[in-house]
Amino acid sequence: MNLRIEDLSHTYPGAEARQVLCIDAWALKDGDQILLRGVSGSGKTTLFNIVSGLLHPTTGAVYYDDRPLYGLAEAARDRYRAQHIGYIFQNHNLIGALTALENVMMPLAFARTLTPAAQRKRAIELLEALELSDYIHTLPKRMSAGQRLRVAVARALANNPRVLLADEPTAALDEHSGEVVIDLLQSTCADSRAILIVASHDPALISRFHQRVDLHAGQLHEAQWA
Amino acid sequence: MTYDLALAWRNLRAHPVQSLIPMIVMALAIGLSITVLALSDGAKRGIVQASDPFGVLVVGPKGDGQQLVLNTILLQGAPLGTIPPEIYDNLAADPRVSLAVPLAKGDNIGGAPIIGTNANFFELRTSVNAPPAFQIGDGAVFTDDFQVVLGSRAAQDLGLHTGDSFRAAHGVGAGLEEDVHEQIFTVVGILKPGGTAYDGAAYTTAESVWHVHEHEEGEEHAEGEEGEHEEGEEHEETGLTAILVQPVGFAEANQIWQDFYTDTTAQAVFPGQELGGLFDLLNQGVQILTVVGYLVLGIAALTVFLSMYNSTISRERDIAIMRSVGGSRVNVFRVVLFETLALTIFGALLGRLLGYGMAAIIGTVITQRSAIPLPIAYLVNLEPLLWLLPIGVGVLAGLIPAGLAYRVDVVEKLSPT
Repeated sequence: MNLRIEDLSHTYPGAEARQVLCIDAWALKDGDQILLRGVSGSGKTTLFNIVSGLLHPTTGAVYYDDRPLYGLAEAARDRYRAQHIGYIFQNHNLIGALTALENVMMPLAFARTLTPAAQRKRAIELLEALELSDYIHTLPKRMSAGQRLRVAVARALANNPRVLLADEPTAALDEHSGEVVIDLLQSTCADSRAILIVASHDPALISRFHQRVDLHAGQLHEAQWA
Repeated sequence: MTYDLALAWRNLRAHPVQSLIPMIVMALAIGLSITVLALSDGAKRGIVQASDPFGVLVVGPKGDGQQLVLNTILLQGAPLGTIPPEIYDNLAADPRVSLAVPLAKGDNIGGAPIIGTNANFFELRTSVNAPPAFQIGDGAVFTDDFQVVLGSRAAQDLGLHTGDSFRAAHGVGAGLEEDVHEQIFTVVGILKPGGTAYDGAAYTTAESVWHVHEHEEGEEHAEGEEGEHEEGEEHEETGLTAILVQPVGFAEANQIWQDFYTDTTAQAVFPGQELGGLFDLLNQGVQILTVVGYLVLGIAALTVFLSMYNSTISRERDIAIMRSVGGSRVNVFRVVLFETLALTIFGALLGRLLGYGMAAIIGTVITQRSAIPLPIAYLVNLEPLLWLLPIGVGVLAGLIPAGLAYRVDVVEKLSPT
């Protein structure tokens, strides 16, 4: 799958309207793994929201395999997101009333590509791979921040996405857990030739990505850091 | 769709208190309606069932026809008075009459009315080919004065068996213990249960009822109270409180009714007509209670709406998460609507348990106290409406909260700030 962004800009409406994103062009291809850095407010989350189909950009377009994402009707875009895009949110965004298993099964159910039994099997496999075997039926409030993040990772990987977006995936983890998660993300995406974009401040990740970009004031720059 | 339904169910289970309250309010609303409707339906069928064996015409003293029927057939209230036994003699000899049954209510045993009649009473039937409505279950029909046949429930309540004796108390209702007649009655038979108010009465010859009073009045006279005894009082003591008449045909029934229409001492009434008037009164009461039921249903709808509205507002972030992992606007709309519908449907189901349960309990208590059967039955004709109402309420109460879910701004709700 190829991901291409053209003439993209976004301005949040309101009295203090300001442009938060302005990207002339950005193209990614199968298997690309990108580390995206930027200070708070640089537009990382806005970029992820646009790329995932959640936020209609003010101008410009996002193409997946040369098909404009925002050319799809909203319901079709929702389905596309469920089937092809994994998104790990900075604050995990798990549903508190659902167990880890139920949270992970949710995108599988919305994608409707597997039977309910197969959805359950897939979700359990992912949770076990993330060392959460003992927490399958646990509610998020009874888990540590690290465990919650791992559930969010499992949920994002559930449908074998073609594009995986991870917003600060190691922020709440200790070094070992962070390595486990990044290993899983990188190896999964490498195996499936999926595009991985990780937004992170974690210096430990720098050495693990060959492609690195800065997002500064809404604009992308080649990384200036080692 | 299936997953949306499962998710709605999961959400309800995750918030049991918030889910139970609107469900209970809905259950109370539906339960109240079902209790009222089932009891009114039971009362009508019970009265029809109880009046079935008692012939086409009731002849009795002039006065309120409804009171005559209620007192004669349902044994409710006091008799209007008495009519001369000659009226019975004339009716019994009338070729237009196939069966006439004299009834003389006078005293009681432990609250069970003692009814003076004759063997014709045991010939009463619900229809020509039907078996007798009042059949002996144990012992035999009375053949002499002061012999008594007890209704099944009277025998059970009084703890009397065939061969037992008792003394009657004065008056038609239970009174002071010492206000009893000297005359001893002997139980010679007990009726099979008949499902009418007559299960709670005792039967003897009309002469027994009259003799008890004549005998005691004679004693009072001997004690020098003649001056207080007015002319004709003895005649009144030998009167009948009613006569059940089964004419040979419809035309004859009308003729007899017409004969009594101009009579100054007695009247003939059609029980069906009088009970129809009673049902009209009952329906007015039901209509008022139905309005109350609709009001309670409205309150239940408001409770469900407020509960779902608040629940949706407090779960906007969860709804945004659902959308972010691939759920469509239609998915989240359906989840909230299904939750509302589940609340109202389970409330309606619980309401049925409550409604029919309460109706059965109240019906049993009324039957025990009044001896009028009150059979509670499933409201087959009204059930579709009693399902459609809560479902309609659920859809209406759920539309706005579901609309809120539909319009949730995903990016805004997922923003960490």
